[in-house]
Amino acid sequence: MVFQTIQKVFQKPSYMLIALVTSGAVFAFATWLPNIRLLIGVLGSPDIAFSDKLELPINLIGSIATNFTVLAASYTIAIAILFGMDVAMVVYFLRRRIKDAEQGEIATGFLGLGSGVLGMGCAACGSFLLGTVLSLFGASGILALLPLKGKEFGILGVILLSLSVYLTARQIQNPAVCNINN
Amino acid sequence: MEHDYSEPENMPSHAEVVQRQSNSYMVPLAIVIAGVLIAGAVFFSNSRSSGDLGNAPAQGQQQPPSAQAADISKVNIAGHPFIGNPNAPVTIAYWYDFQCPFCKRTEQTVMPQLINEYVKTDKVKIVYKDFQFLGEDSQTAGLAEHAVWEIAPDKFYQWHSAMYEKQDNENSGWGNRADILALTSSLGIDSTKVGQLMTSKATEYQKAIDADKAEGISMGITGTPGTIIGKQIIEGAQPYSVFKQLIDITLQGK
Repeated sequence: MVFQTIQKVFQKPSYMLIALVTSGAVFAFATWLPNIRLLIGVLGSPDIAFSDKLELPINLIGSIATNFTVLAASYTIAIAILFGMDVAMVVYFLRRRIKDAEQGEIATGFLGLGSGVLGMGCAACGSFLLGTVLSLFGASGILALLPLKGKEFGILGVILLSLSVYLTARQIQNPAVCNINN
Repeated sequence: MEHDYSEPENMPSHAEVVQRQSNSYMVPLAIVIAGVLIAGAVFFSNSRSSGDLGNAPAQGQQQPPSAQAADISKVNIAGHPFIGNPNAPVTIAYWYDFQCPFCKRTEQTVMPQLINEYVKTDKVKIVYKDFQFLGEDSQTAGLAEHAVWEIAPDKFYQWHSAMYEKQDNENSGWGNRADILALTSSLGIDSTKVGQLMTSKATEYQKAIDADKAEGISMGITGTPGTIIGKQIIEGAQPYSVFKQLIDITLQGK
């Protein structure tokens, strides 16, 4: 039933477009993140041609094949796809003006994205963002204790986003209605 | 969940209405939290001070110099291993650890193309800078590297590549002194002399290794592989197209 609900949502081109655009944005962000300084430096330089400024972000997307382990690339792609689906389904859900529903699953989706982003990183440097965040508190060594050096958060992100998609589909499937008693 | 509001006693209570209103804030709140986390992490990763790598520190690490912007003209290249024409118009500084798997990827997928297209055509010189931080085998390899450069600079790149060919998991097998000297010997380099230098000049070489790492950190290198081309840093094992684009931009500026 949940699968059929998902199918129903994505039969509409507009929601497929929302999902694709959102997934693309998340995926691009993930590949650009390790070189955000390079991107800013090139995009902000007056000495670099506009064509080069357009070309660099495209070139950096190729890093999914070079700068990620198989596991990290897999959950990065999964997170991008799931988040795109999640956003499209939430838009579908909200457009139907179903106000009387639990919104925990929506929050779950964003927490899933947040968890996935924190888990992004490379094998050598561990979890990139999480290490950065933890280092603010002098706790970056915690990552070294984890078996996957922080990539657990990426896996957690996939789980949370999958859960969010499932819950949103359930919610779409079973909208809250006011019974009319005859 | 279905609600039957046909009877007054089934109408939502004030508390329930308040609860639902508070639930409606969960979405924007979750968005704000995620956005602040991500933005904060990006901001602080760009501006954090040197020395914070979250990995095993190098032995005898010196106090790093104060942070400076990435600029190849300010990189210390004197006496460092390099390949290419010494007078090439573009110099690339490349920081690496011999146990880093992503350095191995760069070594095997980017460097051959880069060398063919730019080094052999005298457009680029690549200067090798140590960023040995992944354990004892990394430090040992760094010492051997300096010794090889001293006695057999013409075989440096061959040796450097062979080291990555042999790379296994971090500190888990191949890579101790005996292994490295055996590999060195197999390439026709005097491994006895290399071993002697690794011992007699250990302090000097280690100082140079630590200085390279500190310099990289001061310029914004946060991990390996890290490359400076012009005033830009390439972090991680990026596709060859990224290196090519930055080199071409730098060449155009010459």
